[in-house]
Parts: sequence; C-alpha cells; structure tokens
Amino acid sequence: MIPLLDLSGLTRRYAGLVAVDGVDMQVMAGGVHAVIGPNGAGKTTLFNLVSGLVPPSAGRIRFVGQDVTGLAADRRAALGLARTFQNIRVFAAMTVLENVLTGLHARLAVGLPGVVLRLPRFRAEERRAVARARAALDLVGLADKAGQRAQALSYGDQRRLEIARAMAPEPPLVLLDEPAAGMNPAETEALATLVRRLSEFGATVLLVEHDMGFVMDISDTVTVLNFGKRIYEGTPQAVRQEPAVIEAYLGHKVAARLAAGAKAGVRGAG
Amino acid sequence: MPAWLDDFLWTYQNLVYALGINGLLALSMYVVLAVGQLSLGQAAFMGLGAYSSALMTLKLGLPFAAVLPLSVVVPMVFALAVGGPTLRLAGVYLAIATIGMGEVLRAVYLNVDLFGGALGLSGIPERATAPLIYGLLGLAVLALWLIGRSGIGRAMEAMREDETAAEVMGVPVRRYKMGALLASATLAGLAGCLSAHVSSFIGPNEYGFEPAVTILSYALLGGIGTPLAPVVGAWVLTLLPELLRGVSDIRLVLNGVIIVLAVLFLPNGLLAVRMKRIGARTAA
Amino acid sequence: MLAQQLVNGVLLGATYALFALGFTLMFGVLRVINLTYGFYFSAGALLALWMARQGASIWLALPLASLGAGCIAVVLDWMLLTRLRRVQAPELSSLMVTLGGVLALYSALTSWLGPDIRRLPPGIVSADAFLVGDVRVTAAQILILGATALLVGALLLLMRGTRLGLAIRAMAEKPDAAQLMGIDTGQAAALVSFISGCLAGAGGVLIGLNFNAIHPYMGEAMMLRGFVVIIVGGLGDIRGALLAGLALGVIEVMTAGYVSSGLKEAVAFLILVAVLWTRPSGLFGRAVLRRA
Repeated sequence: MIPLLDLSGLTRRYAGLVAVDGVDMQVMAGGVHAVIGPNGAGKTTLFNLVSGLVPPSAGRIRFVGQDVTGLAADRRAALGLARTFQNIRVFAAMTVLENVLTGLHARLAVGLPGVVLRLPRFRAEERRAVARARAALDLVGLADKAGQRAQALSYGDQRRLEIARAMAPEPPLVLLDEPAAGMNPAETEALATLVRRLSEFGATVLLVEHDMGFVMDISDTVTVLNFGKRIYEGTPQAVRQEPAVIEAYLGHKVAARLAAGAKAGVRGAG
Repeated sequence: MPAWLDDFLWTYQNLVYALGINGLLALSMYVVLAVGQLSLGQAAFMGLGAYSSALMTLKLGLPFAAVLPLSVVVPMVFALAVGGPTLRLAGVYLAIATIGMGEVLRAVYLNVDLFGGALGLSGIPERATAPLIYGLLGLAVLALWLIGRSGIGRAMEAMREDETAAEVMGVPVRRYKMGALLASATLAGLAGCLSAHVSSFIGPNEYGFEPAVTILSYALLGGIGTPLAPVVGAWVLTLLPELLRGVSDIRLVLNGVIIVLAVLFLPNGLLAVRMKRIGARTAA
Repeated sequence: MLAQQLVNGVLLGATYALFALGFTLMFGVLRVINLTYGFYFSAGALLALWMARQGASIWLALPLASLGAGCIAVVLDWMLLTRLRRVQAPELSSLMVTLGGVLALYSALTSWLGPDIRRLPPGIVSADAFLVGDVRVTAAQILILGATALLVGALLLLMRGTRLGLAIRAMAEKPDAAQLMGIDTGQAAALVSFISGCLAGAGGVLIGLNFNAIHPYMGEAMMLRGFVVIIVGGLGDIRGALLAGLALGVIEVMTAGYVSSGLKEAVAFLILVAVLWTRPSGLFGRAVLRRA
C-alpha cells in the first residue's frame, strides 16, 4: 500500500542548528497519527515543511503518491493537505461562515471572467460552497454561530473553527498543530471526540501535541522526535514503555533511576 | 447637453478631468492594498503610461484608439520586473523597490533626449474626453466591485488579514499578488495616458515621490472596504484645495498628515464598510 | 585618472556608509522601516548651513547639527512609532506612517524655505588642495574622510565595548528576551533613534560639503542608496553596511566617469533589482525566514 504521506530524509537546517534531521516517516491512510517530542524537538518545523511554509534543506516529501517537495503551500492545499495552527490564525474580521468558505477556495473553479460576468455557473458554485461550509460547521458544532465574527468566538470555538475551515474541502490528510493547547480538561475531552469523528469523516489525522493523555487516548500510531531526529515509532502502548522515549523526555539520569526503581520494585514483589 | 452643464464643464474642465484621473489612480492603489501589499509605484506606472503613450502619439502618429490600450504595456513590463523578485519577500521590499523605481525613472526622463529632458513633452493632442475618463472609471469600479463580492474578494481579504493562513487554505497568494500589481500598473498606465492626452504637456516631475505618496493618501483616507471608498478619498483630497483657499499651499503637508492620522487612528479609513458578499452577513 | 576616480568614489562611499550605518542600526534594532530617516539627513545639512551663516565654524556646526538631527529623530520616533510598537502593528503600518510623516515634513520645509539649492558660505572649509602623485585631494575631502572614520570608530566602540552597546545588540537579537533582562525598550528605542539621527545628520553635513548643494529634499535622494546598502550589506549588519556603502560610492563614480553621468542615478536601483532577483536575502545577510 502506498502511504498517504511519505517523508524521506527530510532535513531543515537553520543557521547553527538542525531543526529537522533526516526524518523518514510514513503516514498511512486512515486513523490518527501523532508526532510527539520534547520542546525544540522539531515538531512545528516538521509541520511547516509538510505544509510547504518552509522549504527543506534536503529530503523529499511525497503526498498521495506525488512528489510535492517543490510545490508551494497553496498547491499542496489544493491537492488535499489541510492544516490548523498552534497559535490560532482565524480571519478575525470575517464571519465564521466566510472563514470556512475561504478554506474551500481551492475547490472553486470559476475564474475571473466568470466572476465579473456573473455567469450562472458562478452563482451555483457559491451556493454549493455554502452548503459544504455549513456541513463542516455542523461537524465541529458551530452551525449556530455561522453569522458571528470570528474574533467574537471563545478560544475553544476559534480552535473548532480552524478545524472546520481545514475540513471543509474534505481533505484526505489534515494536520492539527497542538489542537489541545490552552484547553481545559472538559474541552480536551470534547476535542478528542471531534478528532475521532474527523477520521470517521474520511480524513487521516496527523497531529502534534503536548498533552500526553490526549495523544495516548486517540492515536493509532505515535512518532517520537528528539533533537530533530526520529527516535521511535509505534503504538501508544509501545511508546509508553520505550526507554529511549522516557530518556528523551526526562533526561538520562532520571530515566536510569526510574529503570533502577522499576527493577527494585519487581524484586521486592518477587 | 444643457447650456448650464456645458458652461460648468468649460469652466471647471481641468478639475473634472483631474477628479476622474485621480479616481483611477486611487483604484490602482486600492487593488494592491486589497491583497495586503504596499506598492508606491503608481505614480511611476502613471508616468510610464503617459510618456509611452505621448511618444506613440507624437513620434509614431498612432490613432488614440490604439494608443490607449497600448499605454498599459510598458507599465506592466516594469511591474513584472519589480514584482517578480519582491513579491516573494516580505511586503516592505515591494514598497522600497517601487519608490526607487519612481526616483530612477525621473532621472531617466531628465537625462534622455527622447523624453525631452527637464522640458518634458509638449504639444500632445487633447484626444481624451470626460465621458471616456468617467466611462473607464465606472467600468473599473464595477469590475472591482464584482470581484470584491465574489470568492476571489474573500480570498483577497483573507490574504490581507493573514497571508500565511490564506496560503495554507489554498489561496494562490503569489498569483494574486502579481495579478493585483499588474492590475495596478494597468489602471495607472491608463490614467497616465488619459492625463497626457487632456493636458497636452507632461514633465518629469509629475511622477516622483510626492504624487506617489499623494495617491496613497487617497486610499487611506477613503479606506479599502469597497472600491468606491478610495475614489471618494481621491475626490475629497482633489476638491479640498480648490474649495478652501490657503489649503492649496499646504496641500502636500495635508496629504502627509492624513496618512499619519489614518494609520494611527482610522485603520479602516473614513468609509469603513465591509463588502456584502455571500456568507458575510453578521448575526447578533 | 583612475586613481583620482577611485579616491572620489571612496569619499562618496564613505558618506553613503555613514548614512546607511544609522539606517541599518534603526532597522536591525528597532525592526521598523522608518522612512523619516532621510529627513534627519536633510535636517542636519540645513542646520549646519544655518549655523554657518551665523558665523559658526565647521568644527562647531558639524557636531551641533549632528546632535540636533539626533534630537529630531527621537521626537519623530516618539510621535509616529510608539503607538504602533505598543500594539505590535504590522511592518507596513510603520512604513506608511513614516511615509506620510516624511511627506508632510519635506513639503512643510520646502514651502517654508523654498525648493532652491543653497550653498555653504565660502571659506567654511579651507579651499586648499593637496597633490599626492596625480591625485588631487581637497581639504573638504580630508575632513569628510576623517569625520566618517571618527564616527564609525565611535559607533563600533559603543556597540562592542560598552554595556549600552551590549543591551542594544541584545535587543536586535531577541527583543522579548531583552525586555526580560530588564532593558527598557522605550528608552532603548529613543537612544537608538538618537544615535541613528546623529549619524544621518552628520552624513547630511558631509554630503553638503562634498557637493556644496543643500536643499530640503536631499535626504529623499539618499534613501534609495541607503536601502541598497543595507540590503546588499544585510539588515542590521554594521560591517556589511560599511563595505557596501564604499562599494556603491566607487561604482557610482566609475559609472559617471566611464559610462554615462545620466546612468549614475540609476546604478543604485539596478543593483537593488539585481540583488533581489538573485540573492533575495542580501549578499551577506541571513535568510529571510518565513514563520508559520
């Protein structure tokens, strides 16, 4: 089976630092794939590389079987690669509905002449777009707020709006950049339900997240980055027990002490 | 035409022309600001349109019906040359490069014989008419209005708010920025051709730094919520020195102060109306 | 002939470098595009002219005009940019506000003083010239070179050798961190404006001496050159601005001497467009990073 997203040797260097260092990673269609790692592990840079905001220093990115390494971000979006941002980036002065309609921009086929001449095709298309946008708002539970200005929404609702905006074109892959950041436990729980629904909706989810409970709860596969390198990949259960991962998070000494403690515990029990 | 209107037009002919032409210039600023860019090349594009069209009329003897559409060619070539590299970078580079372009073209007009040096070009036949000027202005406002109301207008507003987010949503930001700059060069080039063919004389100092900034003040006074707003801004700033004695001496100071006040206190301009497009109606 | 052109070019380039140093400092540290910068240049030259006409010697007029331009810079920065800095407005806002400000200032100055080119009183600098081989060097040119070297030296000493310079450099690297370290950004902005204004003002006096032509809009013509120097040299890069300024002066003089004097004005622009096409981040500069 061809992976939906296939990164090979992906590298990004900044002056004096390698943010992403030769990462190989495959995201298969279906399910939820999480990328975790300590602060500065290169997760956000990885997302920016995949969505096309930052050009790689080396390596290749293939999406739906096509090499997209040299494509601009808007072309990747048109191929069906959607994303949200860690620091919310809704279009504040627009209404909620307009925000989601903007997410459908690449799906609108009518060009300048159709717009200026107001061809019937253009009107029909706008109507279809509104229907799709409303469906996306339904999915995230914002249907009743479609006419509000985006800046008037609560923090949690703005995060939902970003997800609706990304999901409106029904993309095969959606990147969620720390979707649970700044949310309280109840909101996080609701978000977990929503993310699972996204994959039922037909989208594969790739997410970066700090909230370990959230990640372990909803992910099918977890990739762990440290200092820009992929150090482990597996199921949430496997990741939890992997010494290399524990060491990356807690440092060498603590990990060693934990391991020693665990052994002592076993001996005591036996 | 009724006699009084004829009289009025005769007396205020130059003002009538200036209002229409400045309206076109305000629109040429509007189209770039509408995608979140700042070009200060409008006066330079206007000068290129004016000089190239005057030369086509004077040296080649082309009919005005051919000169008018051809007057957009040279401004568009310059827009491509300057916009090509700068639109990939942060917005300030476009502003810097276009200011520089205006300064350099002024030096070129002054130093090259073909352009008549400091004397400029004179004896240009007065071929443009008020109905032509206002017809083009009306068409431009209508076209920009329809675009602004459509999904393209929505994408342009998204670019203005957050270019990166718009790009990730699939808005082809580079293509739109280049398109806006070319549209700006076209409108300014037409304005230059029209102004050359109503005033019979053009000179190198009409397209420098001061007019470039003045055109910005039109758009900032009116705001860029709709394409009509910058045109109204241009009309206010064109009429004010005519109506109030004493203002004409400090016209440029006033234009500068208006830019400062508009940026600091009125970021949406005087006419801060949002375009009515599908999905834009706000509920309480 | 060539040696003479080279000397003239280096002298012109020294003033360009001086002008661009303040500009790159302002850009690099305050992170705003302040288009009023050219006005400090005009203001410095006009202040020196006024003082010279009151009978002041160049030894008095040059430093006082430079300090005066520095004070003007502080006031303008405070009037136009404090508010935008507080709300962290986008770059284009600072560009537009200073553009409006500079149009108002230039045109007010022009309607007050008239657009004519003014000349310094004769004898303000000794008319002596020295012959070194075939190369003629005037006393004014020696003064220009000496003053530029002095100011550049003082700036480097300030930036590299003092706590103040360290604080300024910290602000340029990481504005947020600088704030955490207890650097008052408002005071630092005023200080950087002052230093930049002094450099621009001194540059204005020296260019006024070099060409003996002073008029309100003279700073505007310098802005394009300033931009070229800092884009080629790299934003905020002092050494880069110095080298690029000297190079631009030499190239302009050579173009005027061997190609055409009309093309001299276009040299800076052609370099700018060529650099933007080929090396979008400046020749020595760091990459322009796009952040998501």
